[in-house]
Amino acid sequence: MNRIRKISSVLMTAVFVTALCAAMLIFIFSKKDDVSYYENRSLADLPEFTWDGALDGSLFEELGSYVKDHAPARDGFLAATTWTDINVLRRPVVNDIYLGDGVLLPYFPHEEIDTVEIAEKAADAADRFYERVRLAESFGGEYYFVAMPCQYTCYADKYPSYLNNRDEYLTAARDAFLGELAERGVTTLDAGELYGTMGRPDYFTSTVDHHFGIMGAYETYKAMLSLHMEKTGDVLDVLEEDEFEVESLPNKYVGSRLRKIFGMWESDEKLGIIVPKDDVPYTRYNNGYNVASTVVTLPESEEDDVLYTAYMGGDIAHTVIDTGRDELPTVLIYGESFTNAIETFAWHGFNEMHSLDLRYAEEGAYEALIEEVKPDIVICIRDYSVLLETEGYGH
Amino acid sequence: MVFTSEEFLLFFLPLLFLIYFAVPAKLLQVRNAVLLAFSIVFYAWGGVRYLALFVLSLAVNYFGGLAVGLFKNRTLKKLSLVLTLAVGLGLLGVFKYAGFFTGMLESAGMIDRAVSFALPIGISFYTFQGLSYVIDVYRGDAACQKNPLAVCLYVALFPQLVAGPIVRYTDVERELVCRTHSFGDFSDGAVRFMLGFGKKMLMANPMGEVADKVFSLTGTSLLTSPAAWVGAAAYAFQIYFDFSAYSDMAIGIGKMFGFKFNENFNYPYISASVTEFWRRWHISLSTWFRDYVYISLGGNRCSAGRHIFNLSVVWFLTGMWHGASWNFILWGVYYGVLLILEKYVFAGLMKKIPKPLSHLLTMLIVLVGWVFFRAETLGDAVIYLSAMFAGSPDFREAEYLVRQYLPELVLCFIGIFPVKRLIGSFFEKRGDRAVWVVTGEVFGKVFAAAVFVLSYAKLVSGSFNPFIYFRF
Repeated sequence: MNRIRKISSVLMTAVFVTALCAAMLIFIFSKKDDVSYYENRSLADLPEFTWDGALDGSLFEELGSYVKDHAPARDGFLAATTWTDINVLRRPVVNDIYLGDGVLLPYFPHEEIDTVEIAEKAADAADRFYERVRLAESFGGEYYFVAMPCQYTCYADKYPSYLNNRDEYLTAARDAFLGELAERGVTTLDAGELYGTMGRPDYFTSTVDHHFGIMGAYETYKAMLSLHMEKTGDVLDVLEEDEFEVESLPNKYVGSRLRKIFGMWESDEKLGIIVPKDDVPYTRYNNGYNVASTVVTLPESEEDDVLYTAYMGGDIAHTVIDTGRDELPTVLIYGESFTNAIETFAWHGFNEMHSLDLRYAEEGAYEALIEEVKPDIVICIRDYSVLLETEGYGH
Repeated sequence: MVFTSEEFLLFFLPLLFLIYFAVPAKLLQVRNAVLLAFSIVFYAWGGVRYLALFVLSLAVNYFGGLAVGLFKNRTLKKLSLVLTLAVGLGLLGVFKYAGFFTGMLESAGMIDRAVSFALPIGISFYTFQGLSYVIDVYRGDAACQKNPLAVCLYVALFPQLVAGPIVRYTDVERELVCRTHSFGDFSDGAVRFMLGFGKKMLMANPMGEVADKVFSLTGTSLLTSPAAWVGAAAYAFQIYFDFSAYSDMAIGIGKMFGFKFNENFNYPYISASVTEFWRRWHISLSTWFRDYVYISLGGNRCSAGRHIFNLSVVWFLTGMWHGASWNFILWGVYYGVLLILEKYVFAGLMKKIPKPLSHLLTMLIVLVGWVFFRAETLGDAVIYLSAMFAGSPDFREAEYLVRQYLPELVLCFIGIFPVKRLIGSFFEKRGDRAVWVVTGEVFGKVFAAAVFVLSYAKLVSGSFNPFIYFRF
């Protein structure tokens, strides 16, 4: 018995010390990544030494974050933990994603609905928006606001009763905000209502990403232009269904929700793109620089994953698609990533299409662009969840 | 620095192993110096500015101990002790309680503005530990230590520095100057450390997520009765597994370096009375108060009235020690009253109550106590308790939490029982003690290593990693 204890103690000591020392050496000599793909964020940098930081401890805190972000085998352990949570422990929510019946949905804590607060916030937000409307109109443009349903709004009934599907809050926020805009005479389109009237809201959105699918983007685009034509009597060159083909990319579509769980969920959803039959030449500029004339960034091979960022090459502060047809109107589409899928084909019927992503554009970019370009049509696209927000994406 | 951090595991511990064990065993003073240097780095990790106070505290204890030990004159001896206590407790009072007391004066309109300082990490622990040395020297229970390195290492030794257990000088007096190292001790220490690490990462932290979520709902309509019960139970699990995990890791690390610290917990949630609970919970603090306050006041060898007074003082101070707020004071008083009631009113009744019932009652009492302990304010505690006993019966939040954290809840429930001991006695009853010892020897190590790997995975994949007892 003593012999067994002796041998096992020596072995235990050796394994424990060796493992820790090896991990230290691996950390020191391993190549450090800048970005975590699955977490979709930059990893912490090695902090610079400052006396103030050392005195108040913030230096060591930053150093701790750096070590945490670059710990040996971090990605492998993250994936293993996710796999265990899904397959062994069978948690309903993994990495803030609810693994529903055929769809991945975000987890939200239960929330209190304060209708008075929502009404006040809606009025404030509408006031802020209205300034942009007035500016666009003062330069002769027609302004439209499009409210997009969140992916989870289209699958509200897929949540179990013990989880919050945010339906109550989002309905209240949307109704209040669109009501406020209508009171100010702004023409609005509720894409959620549109999908609802078409019978299958889930058809237009994604099961693995927080954005809509390509057909959702198309129906929104068509409704947007119809709204303008109804309002002004103008005739626009709308891309009709017999003028394009929908192509499904063969790659694995790793939507934002699927990415959060390391792609560990069976999905046959493919990323669709609209390919117009009529070839219209155009020039593209990203933030003022001439770039390749393409609106879909395809992965290098069929084996590679494809993301929503394939549309328009991802989020870019200012994009211009110039078809050089001066007789056609100019359009500005702004908002955030929801505009990307629409933009891959919306440019087709315009002289110039400008796209502004307010998250990346400098302050005052919208105002400067309106004054410079004087677009005939201005379309703002926001999803339900940020309508009343004044921070982050809602700003 | 915390034990369950990457910088501790990937740098601090391996570097310490390499440097400490590179020094020949016969040069124990050099090894002690290495340990002290690492302990100071460990402490300074929270901010170098707090070091000055820490060093001052070390100096006060060293010179206080020296004066108390060297003076032959009884009055000078006593004066030295009083001075050391006054400075030690004064520093604790200023940094921990100034905000609380001046806040009260401000509320009463007696001063214009409350004064408060940032709370230095671990001040309650190292102050009590340092004072116990000086008191032991005064009482003649320990010899005065002339070597400053030994006194500093005793107070600053990093395993127990910031969150206990509160180690008594007499327990490590010999080990500071003469200790042995062996593979057996190192291996036992490593196993204990790894199991403590697992307790923290796999049990305490998930329960902390549940408790934080539920307690954050206080004052909203979302705090329903089922959710409040789940939150209180989760907090009870969290605080036990968090704190006992820290003690396990401290004891384990101590053992790797040749120190044998006393146990701090003994399965408190199997207690059948409040008195028993406090014999099993945070033992090092309870015994500290018993030996240095309760007994000094006269203990129980006095009249009933005086005994009740002694208990009241001890429990008032126990509450205060945990934090400068009314919640903690009330929590201490709550236990003081319960212990007095158990002793003087319900002693007979408790013997008649069936054990399972008295166990359930004790757990209910403990759960209510934790609500005072966890709530931000006294008002929040009352709101929370109201929700527990008379809140909305909506099950949705509770159902989500139970489904989401079911594996951890089950694990925690099992973990409150002395499972290893039970299995051991099962084998013993069958006459297979040898089988159990051998199996336990090998299987225990493999199990600990597996737990450690899982915990490391949890550590690198999660950012939720607060240590509850760092605020004391």
